[in-house]
Amino acid sequence: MKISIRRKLLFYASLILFISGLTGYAFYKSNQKLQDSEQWLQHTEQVLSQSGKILSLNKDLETSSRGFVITGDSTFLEPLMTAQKIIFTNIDQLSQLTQDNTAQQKNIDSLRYYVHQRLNFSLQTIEIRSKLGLNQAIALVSTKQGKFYTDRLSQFTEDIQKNENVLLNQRKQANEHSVFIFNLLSVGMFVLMMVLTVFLLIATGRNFVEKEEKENRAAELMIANKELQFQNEEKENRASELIIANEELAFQNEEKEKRAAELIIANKELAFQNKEKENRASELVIANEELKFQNEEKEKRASELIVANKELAFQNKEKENRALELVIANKELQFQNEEKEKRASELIIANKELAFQNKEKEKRAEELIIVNEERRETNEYLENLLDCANAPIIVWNTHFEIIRFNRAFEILTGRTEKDVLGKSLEILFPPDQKDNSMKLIKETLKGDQWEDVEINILPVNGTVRTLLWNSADIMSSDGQTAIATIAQGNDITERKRAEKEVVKLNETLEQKVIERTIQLEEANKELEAFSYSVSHDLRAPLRHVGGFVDLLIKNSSSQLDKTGLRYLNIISESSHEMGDLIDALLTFSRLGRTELQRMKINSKSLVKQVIKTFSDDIAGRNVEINSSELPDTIGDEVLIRQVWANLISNALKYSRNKEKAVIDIGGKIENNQVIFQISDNGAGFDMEYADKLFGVFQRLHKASDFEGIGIGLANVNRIVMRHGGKCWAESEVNKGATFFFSLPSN
Amino acid sequence: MKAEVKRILIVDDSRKDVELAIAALAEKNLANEVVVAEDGLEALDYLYKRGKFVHENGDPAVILLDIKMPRMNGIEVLKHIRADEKFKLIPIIMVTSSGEEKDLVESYKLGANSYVVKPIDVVQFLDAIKVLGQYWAIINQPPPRSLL
Repeated sequence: MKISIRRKLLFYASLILFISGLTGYAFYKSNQKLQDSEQWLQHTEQVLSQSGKILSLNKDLETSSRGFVITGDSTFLEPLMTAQKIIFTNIDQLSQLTQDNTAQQKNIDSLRYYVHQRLNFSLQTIEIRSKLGLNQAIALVSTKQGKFYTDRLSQFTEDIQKNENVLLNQRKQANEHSVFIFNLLSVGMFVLMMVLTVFLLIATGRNFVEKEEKENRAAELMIANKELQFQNEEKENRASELIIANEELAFQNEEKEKRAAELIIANKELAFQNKEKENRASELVIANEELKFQNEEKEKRASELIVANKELAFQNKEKENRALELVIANKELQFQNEEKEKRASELIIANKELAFQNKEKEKRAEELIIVNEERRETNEYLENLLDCANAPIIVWNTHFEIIRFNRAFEILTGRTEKDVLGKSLEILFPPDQKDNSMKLIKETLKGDQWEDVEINILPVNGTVRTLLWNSADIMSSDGQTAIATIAQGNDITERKRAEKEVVKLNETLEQKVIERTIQLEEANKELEAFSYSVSHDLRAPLRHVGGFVDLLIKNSSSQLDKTGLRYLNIISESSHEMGDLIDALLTFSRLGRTELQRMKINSKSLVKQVIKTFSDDIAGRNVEINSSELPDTIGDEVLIRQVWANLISNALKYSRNKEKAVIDIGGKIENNQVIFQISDNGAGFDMEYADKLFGVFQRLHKASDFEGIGIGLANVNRIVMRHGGKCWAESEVNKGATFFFSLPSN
Repeated sequence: MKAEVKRILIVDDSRKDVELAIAALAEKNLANEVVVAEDGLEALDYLYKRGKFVHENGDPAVILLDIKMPRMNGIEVLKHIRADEKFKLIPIIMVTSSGEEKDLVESYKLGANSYVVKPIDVVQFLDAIKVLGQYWAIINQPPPRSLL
């Protein structure tokens, strides 16, 4: 069956319409997918920035608490307060961003947990720092708990970012695939449309041929022709309309082609942007890791430096002590040297004198040949002189044979001159030192003079004596050769013994000091154990009395009359009072035991901080506090802070009945001491009782006038005394009081 | 925000102190699920469900741990708990009768979460719980154990 040309044309036209519709749809879809990709990219960026913000807030937290721990300055805590307020809101926002992703939600829960733990740890550190001081805070920090939490939360942030990037990639790939398919489809359909248009043109051509045949036949069928001609004309009109329609379609196709090319370019641009953003994200991840690593390194280095500093401080102190000892030893040595120099110069003079005398004697001997008698007398005189000398004197010849041995020597050795004359010097020395002593003596003949040479002598009774020797050569009459040597000894045995004793005594003394220190340490430990036991065991029954009386008041007060209830209230109050007294005593005893952590104290800022803590007491009162320049000082900051707190609190307390309280705080340096003072215009006290002021539980006012248990000034006194300083006060009843305390300035 | 404390384990050798603690907790309706261990060893017995606690079940939401106790003191119990994977996340509040500095420092070093001084002040206790409870109060479930 032959299908009419018209129908064919109609069929082609509707097919082209349908396909162009499909192409349009494909473009619409591919565009939608591209928009989709863009939205996901923005979403990922939001997640990355949000998690980065949380990390940075956590860093603020850490830096802030670290700053406070190192300096104790509460202004460091401001960033922590801010971060604490908003960090969980930020985590909630992050959680909302990834609401549809259960894996991310799990990670965010863990992140929230560790941020929370990290925050708690910082708060604990801050509490320890402000309550127990720097060292305890450092001890807590060095448990590395904080670092553990930070590592964890950084790990989870990284996971969240990683997951988000992976997700983005997956979605992007899927979208790119769809865009590709849709683009392919549009190109395919465009080609199909072209083919169909060609078919339509051919079909239209064929239509014309058929029309000519019909015109030939029309000559025969003229009447019917008109009808047909009319029909043909109709068809012609329709065909030209179709041509116009075709042209319109072709134009639309071209437009679509252009649009497709533009979209392809746009796709490429977007793909490029995606890649750029991906690169940026991975760079950020690397930068994050690097920062994390640097932080860890710095934390480590800081804790190492703290340890090294302590070690250096200890070594410095040791070296200072040693230097002091050395200075003393040096002075002693210098003194001894001077003494020896003096003695040496005296001996040189004596030697010269002796040499001179010898020469004189020789000269005189020649003269004495003539006056023999005179010589003999002189000889005798000299002999007597030798014998009368207190010091042992000996003369030996060049063969080291004894030729003169004075009386003092006889007494020293228990030998007589008769026994030793002509004998070798060796017999005088202890056998084991004989060779060494002889060697020393032989050196004199080589021309070496002795000065203060120490040689031991063995007397007959066997008790070795130590002598300090000085010698001189006796020269022949021509003065060229030595014919004998004269030596004079000085018995220093007793001195040596005394020296040894001193050394020994010193050693015992040191031992005694060590023993005493151990005893003191033990006593200290016992005291500590005692107060620990007091604080636990003494308090327990008291706590039970107070606790159960409170319960009784709470639960059974309706069964008691007014008096009974009053008694119970008194028991309760008294047990709380006793608890306070025990606490105060324990604090007082602890003040005497804890080791001082000395450091430089900025007095002005310390006092400012302390005054700030009393803002509640000052509020509603008319108080004027004047603080002049305060010198810096050295001491345990925690304890000195307590001193200021007690004194300022007292000044505020005892001036509260005045219409306007005026408190003046000042300080000055005097005789190597820093002296601080704080005065008020309050109740004051009678100077007659001034000596009781700093005693434990001593009060100068009635409890009904001014509350308190009387431990504050005792604590102040103990702290100041432990720093090597002093406390005192001046006052007049109702005219205010001035309290002073001094601290060594170095 | 309301802290959801389900079960409190009180470890204290003094029956009188335990009674005072329960009275204080009862004031805030917190004493419904209190378990008492009379010293450190009993505390571990409760956690591991042995000895006189062999028929019990469940973990405490928070532990109030006295420091000075016979047989095994609070510091040792703390060490045990923090070394056990199963229990290391349970919040522990140390209870001290003195506030002695060295006890507190050691407790914090070993991972205690907070401390209160006897007699237990319930406001102080709730403050401590509030800080610890923040996390669970937000997500309403304990943290995943697999994380540690």
